[in-house]
Amino acid sequence: MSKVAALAVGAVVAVGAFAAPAQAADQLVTGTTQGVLALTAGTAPLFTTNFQPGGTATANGTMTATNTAASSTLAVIDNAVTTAGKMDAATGATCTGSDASLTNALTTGVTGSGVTTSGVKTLSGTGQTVATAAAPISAVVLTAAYSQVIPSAQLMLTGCVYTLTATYTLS
Amino acid sequence: MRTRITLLAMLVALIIAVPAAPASALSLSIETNATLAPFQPGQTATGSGTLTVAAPLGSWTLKVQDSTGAGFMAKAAAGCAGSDAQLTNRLSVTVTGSGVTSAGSKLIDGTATQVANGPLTVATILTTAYAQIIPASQTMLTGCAYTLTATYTLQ
Repeated sequence: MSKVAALAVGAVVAVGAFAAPAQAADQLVTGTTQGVLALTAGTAPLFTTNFQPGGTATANGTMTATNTAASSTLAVIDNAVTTAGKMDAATGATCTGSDASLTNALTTGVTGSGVTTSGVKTLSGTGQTVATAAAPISAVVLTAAYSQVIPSAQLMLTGCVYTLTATYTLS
Repeated sequence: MRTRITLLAMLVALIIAVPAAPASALSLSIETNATLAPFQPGQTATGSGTLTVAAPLGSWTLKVQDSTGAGFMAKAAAGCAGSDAQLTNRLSVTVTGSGVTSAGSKLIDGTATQVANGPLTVATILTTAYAQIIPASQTMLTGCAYTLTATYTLQ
């Protein structure tokens, strides 16, 4: 009887020592890219030198573009009604005697990583492609290099401010 | 003598029964997979899946790893032209459940990382809450699917 009891105890101990095997399972995590089309204006260009009769003023502006589409096109237009493409003098005494708008249109050329520039374009009231991309772009910083040729005969009062709003469209 | 035979029979029955017990001692099954949204540059995409854990013989520990991509979601072979091959940041997961001790948010990588543990249970449903930070500069084509297989191990 005592021999049987000893065997039984030994069996119980063996049961307790048996480790259960680990179990594994795979969980699939998926994300599908949603469409994003974004264009944000960064640094505004400001002509600080040579903005005077007979001078050629240059300045750069920046934009940040994101487009998850397979290709992109960036176009520019000046929506001014009567003087599209040309910088206009501010109203008021600071521009008394100045030409209301510059003789020559403003030009711009857009460059950036991952995009192909379309070269220098003369701004007008018609949309013009300034850059393209043949692949998705994300947070690409684009530089718009502006140039303004001012004839020697241009009438400009010292301190007179000329402006133009270039509207860019990313598609 | 008859008592001795009976006890021996019980002992034999016990020994025979022992090998069958561990096979059902731990159980881990996937209930639902996870889909992340909003999945696009500059966003933190989130999504949840569920698991069921059964450990009727004692406490348990749950670990996760990605032995293929080391925690980085990878793009599909098709429909992803121009997209980054894999995301810049690792996927993170937080596992929670009733009566479960969560290890908090963990970045998934190529080694097993504990995400939760708990006491004896017949069946507990766990939620796997994933988060994927996507930088604004991540290049991704609309419709491109990124995936990761999270392997959970229950011990």
